[in-house]
Order: sequence, then structure tokens, then C-alpha cells
Amino acid sequence: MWDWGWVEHGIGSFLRPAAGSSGGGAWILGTGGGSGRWHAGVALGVTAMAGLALAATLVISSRRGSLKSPWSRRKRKHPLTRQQWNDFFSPDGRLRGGGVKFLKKVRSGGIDPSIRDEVWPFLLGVYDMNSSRAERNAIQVQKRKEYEKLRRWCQQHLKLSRDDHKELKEIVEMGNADSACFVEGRDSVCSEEVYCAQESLSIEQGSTEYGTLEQPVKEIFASNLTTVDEDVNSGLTHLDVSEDETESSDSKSSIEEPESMLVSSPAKPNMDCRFAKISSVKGNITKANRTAEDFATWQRIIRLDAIRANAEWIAYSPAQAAIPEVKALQSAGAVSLTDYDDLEPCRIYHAARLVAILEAYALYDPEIGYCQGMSDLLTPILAVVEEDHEAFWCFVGFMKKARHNFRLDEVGIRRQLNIVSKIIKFKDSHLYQHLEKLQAEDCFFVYRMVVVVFRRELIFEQTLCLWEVMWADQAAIRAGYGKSTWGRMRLRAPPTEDLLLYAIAASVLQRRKLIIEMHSSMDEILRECNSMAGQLDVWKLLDDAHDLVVTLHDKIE
Amino acid sequence: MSSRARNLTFKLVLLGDGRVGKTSLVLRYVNNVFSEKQETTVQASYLTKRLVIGGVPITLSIWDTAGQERFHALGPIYYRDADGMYLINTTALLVYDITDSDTFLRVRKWVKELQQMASKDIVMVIAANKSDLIRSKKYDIQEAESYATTIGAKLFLTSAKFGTGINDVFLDIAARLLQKKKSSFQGLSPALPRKGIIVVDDEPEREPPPKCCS
Repeated sequence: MWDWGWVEHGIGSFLRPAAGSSGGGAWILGTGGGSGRWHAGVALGVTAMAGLALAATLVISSRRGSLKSPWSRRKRKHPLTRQQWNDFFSPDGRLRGGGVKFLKKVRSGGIDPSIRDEVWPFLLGVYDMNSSRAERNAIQVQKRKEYEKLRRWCQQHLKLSRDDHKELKEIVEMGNADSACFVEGRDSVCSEEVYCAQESLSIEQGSTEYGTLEQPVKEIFASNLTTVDEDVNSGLTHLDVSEDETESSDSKSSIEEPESMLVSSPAKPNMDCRFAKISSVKGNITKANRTAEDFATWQRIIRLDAIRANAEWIAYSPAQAAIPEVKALQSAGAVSLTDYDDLEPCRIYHAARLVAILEAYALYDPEIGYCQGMSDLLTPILAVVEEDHEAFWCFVGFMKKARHNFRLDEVGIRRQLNIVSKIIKFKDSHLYQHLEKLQAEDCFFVYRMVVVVFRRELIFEQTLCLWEVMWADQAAIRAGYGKSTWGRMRLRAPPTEDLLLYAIAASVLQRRKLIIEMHSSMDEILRECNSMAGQLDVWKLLDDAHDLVVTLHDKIE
Repeated sequence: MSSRARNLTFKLVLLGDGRVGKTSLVLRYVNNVFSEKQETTVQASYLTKRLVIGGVPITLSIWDTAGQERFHALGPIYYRDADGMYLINTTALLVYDITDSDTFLRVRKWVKELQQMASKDIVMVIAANKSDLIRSKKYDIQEAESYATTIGAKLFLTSAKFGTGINDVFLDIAARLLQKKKSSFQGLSPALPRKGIIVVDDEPEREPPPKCCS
């Protein structure tokens, strides 16, 4: 029966343009009717495709065995293989054609697990699609240094707060004296190298009281202006600058992208005018919403959460699962992680990596800092990317969008819930009316899916698949491959920034009958959503999501 | 409808700082399981438990919430009643970690917020969790107890790890809610809880991962 389900869907959408509005597959099955040859041809096509699907299924299921969901009716398309990946590159290590074909491949079938660590940095914008191998090497060196600097800062903060925890706490509660501690820290870093000090200062100021932020940072950027020409390695800064320009041209993100600019590469010529905007945003929004959370709080919660992080990654990453105890304890010691009790070495090691990177991130993006749920987003990256500094920048790339999920002012979440609600409204007015009746049309029940990007609903391997397909969409948009590019390639769904939201709506729509007939309150729907955990099939979900994109993206976006 | 009317449903919301053991308390109570490394709760999860008190079957709808303060800005959806009123038929179970006085401060903060937002006679119960750790060090709950008295709440020592004190907490909550309900029956017959279709002994929203370190 499963193959008919597949065929119905696949062919149905294939025929839809020719056949007008008679969507769905029922009529395809009834091919014996009066229209003669044409339908017979369709039937043949149906049979052939069913055969192909079956063959592909056999290959894939024999290869991936346990990785596919037992509920799967739809089978995943072929993932990007190592061979294909290598073939995409020209001799100087550039992706041919700016990576269009590569992205197309990932969008439809994901990536083979053995090459994820090489491919993800491209999807997450760590490397530009058009970069050469030499440029990437240079970027890697630079990014590594930046990460190590952030780590040194974390250590100093930790040392300060450990040295005199209580006193510091009192000072912080009193108001703005924490900046004094940071100044002390800065000086010691300053003595190492001037370049570093400038950057460190911007980092440090970003995490102190916002009221005192503006002037010093302006000075830093002003001083950077004079050193830009010497410092800029065009290969290094090209990526950052072009990305930031894209963002700042987007009115929505001009408000939402402040902190990462503050603390990334100091060589940004037009930063200070942008900063004026940032500081006013901070004054109005962040300061008003600021809670007692500060860096010391984050350091504490990060450690508490790291040792109880989800351990599903272990089966995925045998090398890290087999980490020797000595090394695990060493990593824990390096980030002053102590309360791991009787945790297995691999989980201690993983927890230590979580702490290192989350802490660095909190410093890098102090507006967001740390929020529970962020470790859910980092864990899969750690399982795939073995070097901390690379994992950090991949995480930064992921968080460029996901950071809005953790904002104090809820804007990011509300926008997304609103889109899910709209998708459901346009697609299924019956279900939407039911939700309205229950006062659940705000779709709050999918909140968790939005915040941790389906990590709690999908099994580990399937989460990775969803994310990389989603990232490929975002990378395509970032690289400027709009709808026309994909139209030419006969890919049905154009890339969208919000594939996740279409997938979330799809998961709800898959349960529409149950929700309409059985659930009479928001609580029950939320429980239904929670109980999707482990029951979803990512490729079916993506197919449904892509169908929604095709029919609705003009109305939604 | 008459059988429905007998099935009383009460809402219960667990509030408290991160990692004080909210999820563990609920999972111990509802499913009698305990995980040393319970994953962080994001947003909130929802479980139900049916119990009988003095011959009256009642259902507790339990909302387990995320601990980090930031999530609480996200709309009080889980303590909103169907009619949009706050905590009319709802109890707050405030949880803190007995070994960490900061988490008790967080309870006090919650109480303040609830008192401002909810009706005056909101039922509040405090659970001083991780009582199994008392053996290693003496912790003073005197202050917490007298504080509980001042706000009209009851304080229970609990250990989700060993399962001690847990039933008492929930039984007390249920009994107090029932009492409240009964006394409100004296007046104009109030709307009964909205629904009666409740599954007994729900699955937790997420089982601990079956896999283990190799």
C-alpha cells in the first residue's frame, strides 16, 4: 500500500498543472475511464515511477536501515554523496556555478553523514558559496583565533566570578560596577596584542550595562576605521561584510541583528553608523526587558543544562562516544565543569564542549546570551563537527536566524507562530475554525517545535536531515538564488526562509482529523503535539511542507 | 452529561527555577519514573493524572513549565483558563531546590507575581525538593515554612529521586481544590470544569532516551 501513497502524491503534483484543479490522486487510480491513450500513458508512468521508487527504497533502506522511521511511507531521496560533493568543486576549490546544483541536491535529499562536517559550514554561511579553497583556509585561521579569544574571555569572567563570587554578586546587584571588573580583564588582554584588545573591548562592552555602551564602542569603531586598510585581508572580510550588508538591507533584521556585529571582526568600515541604530534599539527594548540575567548567571545555567543534555547523539557519533576518560575529564577541567557526578566519559566530554561553545556564544551575542533550548540546537552540531572552533562558527551561522527564538521580547516567536497560523488558515479553514473555537488559533501549541527547531519531535538523525534541507533553502536565498533560478531547474518549491514553519504546519495538518474530532481544548492539542515525538517521518514532512510552500508562499511571504 | 459533571478536572502549574526538579516531580508522580539527568523543559509540557479523593474521582491536568525566567515572558498560556481568567481553577505548585537558597528567592518572586495576577484565593503549595540531599548536609527549612504560612501555602519536603513526599503534595492539592470547589457549590451553581475526556496515566511528553553509552 505504501507505494500507492507515494505515487499518488508524486504523480498527483506532477500532473497538477496539466490537469487543472483536480489535485490529489484519486482520479489517477481510476485510469480505466474514457480518455483513452493519455491516461494509459499516465498509468504507465505511474507504474514506472512506482517501480523506481521501490528500487530506490530498497537501496536506501538497506543502506540506512534503522535510520528511517518505522512509520515512513515516503522514502528519502538520495542524499548528497562524497563523490558528488567532490565533483562539484573546480580545481581551485570553488563550488562550480556558485553552488546552485549543490544546494538543489541538498534541498531534495539531504547530505550523506560522512561528509556533513565538510558541507555544513557552507550551508551555515561560515564559508561563502563562491570562496576558493585558499580563502577558506584563511577564514578558518582567522575564525579560530576569534573563537580562542572569546574562550579566553570566558575563562577570565569565570575566574573573576569564582574568585569573589559573593562580592561580585553584590556589586552587580548594586548596578554598574561589573564594568569595572571587565576593564580589569581587558587590560590584561590588551597587553597581549592591540588588535585583540580592540576586539575584546567591543566584546566586553557588549556584555556590560547598555547605558554605558555607546561611547566606548563608537571610539573603537572609529579607531578601526584607521586600521581597516592595513588589517583587511580581503579574502577574510569579504564574507562578513557581504553578509552584513544583506542583513542591514533587510528592514526586519536591522533591529534583530545587533550584537553579532558588535563582536565579530573589527574590520568593518561602516559599522559606527549602524551602531547608532543598534544602541537606540538597545535603549528602548533590551534595557526595558532586561532581567537579572547576566553573564555569571548564564555560566551557571549553561553548566547545569550541559550535564543533562540529550544523549541521542551518542549512537550517531561513535568516535566521540569512545572518548577516553582522561580526555573527557581534561575537557571538563578546561571549562571548570565539575558537577557531572557519575556521567559517562562521552557525556562529560560532550557537556564540556557544550559549555565551552555556549559560553563563548553568550559573550559573542550578549543580547541573547544563553537560554534553555540553545543546547538542543548545539548538540547536533557538536556530534557532526569535531573541532570546537568550527562547531562554534557553525552554531553562530545557525543562530543568525534561530537567535530570534530566544529573544526576551518574544518578537521572533510571535512572528513565527503567526505564520504557522496563517498557513493553517489558508490551507484548511475547517481546522482553523476549530482552533478559533478553542481559542488556539495563535498556534501556541507548536511553540516548542519553533523554539528548538523540531529537535524534540524528530529523532536525532531525522533532525539533521530537516535542518540541512532548511539551511540549504536559507543558503540559496543568501546567495541570491531566487525563485527564477529554481523555476528554471523545475524544482517545484522555491527556497523559503521559513521552511521550518511550513513543516510545523504540515505536522499539525497531518493530525487535522484527530484534532477536529477528538480535541476540545488547547491543552489537548499541545499534548498531541508533544506526543509527536519520535512518531514523525522527516521526508514525508518535508514533502508536505514543500507542497505547502508551492501553494501558499505567495500568500504568506 | 451527568457522568461528565462528576469528573472534576483541576489545573496545576509547576513553577520554579531551572533544575530544581519540576519535571522530575511530575514524572515521579504520574509515571513513577526518575532520571538523574532529566532534560531541560522548553516551554511547557502537559500531563494528566486521575485520582479519587473521598470517593470523588478527579483529574489533575498538570502543566510542567520551563524554569528559565525568559520563558515566563512568553505569555501565561499555561495558567490561563478557557475563559481567559487567570488561575480560577488552578493551583500553583512552587518548587525549589532545598540545597540552593537562590531557588527559594525565585519562589518568592513567583508568589508575588501570582498574587498580583491571580485571584486572591489561589491555591499555592510549595515543594522543597531534593530532600534526599539533606543527609549530606543540614538544610534549614524553617524560614521557608514560616514564609509558606504567611502566604497561606503549605510546604512539603519532597524527593523526586526517592519518591518521598510526592503523593502527599498532590493529594493535598487535590483535597484543597475539591474543598474549594465544594464551598463554591454553596453559591450560584458555577460552571463545572470544561471537559471530562481524560486519559489515565499519560505517557510523559518524552521518554528518557533508551540508548546508553556504549
